Amino acid sequence: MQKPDDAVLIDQIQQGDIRAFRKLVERYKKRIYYLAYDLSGNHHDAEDLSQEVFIKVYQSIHRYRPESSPYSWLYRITVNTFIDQKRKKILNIIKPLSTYKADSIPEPAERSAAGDSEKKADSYFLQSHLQNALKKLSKRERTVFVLKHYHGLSIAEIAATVDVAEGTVKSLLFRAIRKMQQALQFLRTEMETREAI
Amino acid sequence: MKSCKEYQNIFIEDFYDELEPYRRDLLRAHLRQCEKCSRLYKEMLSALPLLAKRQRPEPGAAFWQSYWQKLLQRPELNQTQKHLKKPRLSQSPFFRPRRRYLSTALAIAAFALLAVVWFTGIPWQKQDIPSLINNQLTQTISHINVRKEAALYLERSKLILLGLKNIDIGINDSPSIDFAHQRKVSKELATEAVVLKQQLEKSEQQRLAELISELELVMMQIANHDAVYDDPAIEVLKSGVDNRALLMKINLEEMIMDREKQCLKIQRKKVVTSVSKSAGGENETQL
Ligand SMILES: [Zn+2]
Repeated sequence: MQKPDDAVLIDQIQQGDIRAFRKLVERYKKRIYYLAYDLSGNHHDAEDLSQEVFIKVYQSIHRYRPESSPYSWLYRITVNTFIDQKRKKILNIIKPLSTYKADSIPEPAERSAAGDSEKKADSYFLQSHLQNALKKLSKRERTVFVLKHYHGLSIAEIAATVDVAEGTVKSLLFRAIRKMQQALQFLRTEMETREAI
Repeated sequence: MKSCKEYQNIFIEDFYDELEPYRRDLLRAHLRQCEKCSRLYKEMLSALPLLAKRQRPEPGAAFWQSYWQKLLQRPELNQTQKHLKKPRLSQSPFFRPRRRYLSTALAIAAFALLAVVWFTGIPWQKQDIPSLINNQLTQTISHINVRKEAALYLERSKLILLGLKNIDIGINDSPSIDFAHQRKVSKELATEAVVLKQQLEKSEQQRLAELISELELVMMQIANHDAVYDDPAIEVLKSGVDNRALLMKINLEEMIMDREKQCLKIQRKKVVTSVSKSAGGENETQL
């Protein structure tokens, strides 16, 4: 059986069909959760943000216009919800490094051999610094950067999603990459030194 | 293209393969001649593969399986289901639903009224009850509602002012950045201030009305500001906010409101205790 396309689903949700809403959630939950994770930086807030997005989708389903694709509409709601979140909540995501590990690093399926521990430490080190570099960005910088770098949207698509001019998207991206490059400079130097040895 | 800045503006498109061949050739030619741009280009480009190494943790099958159930349990969704067929007009993503505020306000108002009546010991007479309840309850509810509205207004204004405060002007790798969103919200706040001020004055909350009036002015200035961050006019706006000590005033009002909330809670507790005690007493007499 062919999957109903998004337009049909949205039409059904507008008629009050909760099953159609469930289908839409199942279809997009991963994409929205991952975007929420990239924006918020931790699992708990990502879950909360992504669910808030689906609630907003349901609440504003009558305002959906078919000119934009459903996923770009969902992205837009995610980004707006993230940008509008209370400042207090955002400050909470800046956790100390010690609490980062459990939340952010995937647990291996089985216990690794002793020889792997150095590799694991390296990976943890790298991942925590990458995550911290992302946290150095303003919300707007982080938003355009993750949409570009981790979700592959074009500059024009990002501009439409966050509702700013393309020039603004480029400026924000420039700033984001420059800031993170500076934050990660020491890491690159260290990696190059290790490779040389 | 003439200046280094103009070439730097197209780095991003080049990094992500969005640059047309003609402009890419121009950029390459410039990078060959200009050491400064060439160094910056290489530095930024070298960060990209490193950033690509970032991994997200996979939350696991159990998380995905329970996702829908957890969503269904969210109270906001249950509220929406009842109202789904009616399109709601005031649903900008900036605003949080206010329905919860209203019911809380009503509950608090009812308790406050009960508390007033209980502690002042007004002798009840059957014919007085409806008018007493009507007047006091209406007054209390409208007073509380206006303060709730004001609290929400202050919270949103604070976000805008903090955003304004945090703009870094003069960062050389930030060409002009607009702040369309802040301007949009400021415009909404400037508009909403008109009604809110009137309501506050009506319920004799002069100090709050004055603060809202000051905020209205700043919001109008932000709303009408030209969309450029590195504009010196931003500095004028920022110092305007500082001079009026607006953030401090907002914090102060929020502290007062918090204290009020706590007082109401305590009153509510007292009323509940007294009511349950008296109910217990009556039972004893009956026995
Ligand atoms: Zn140059």
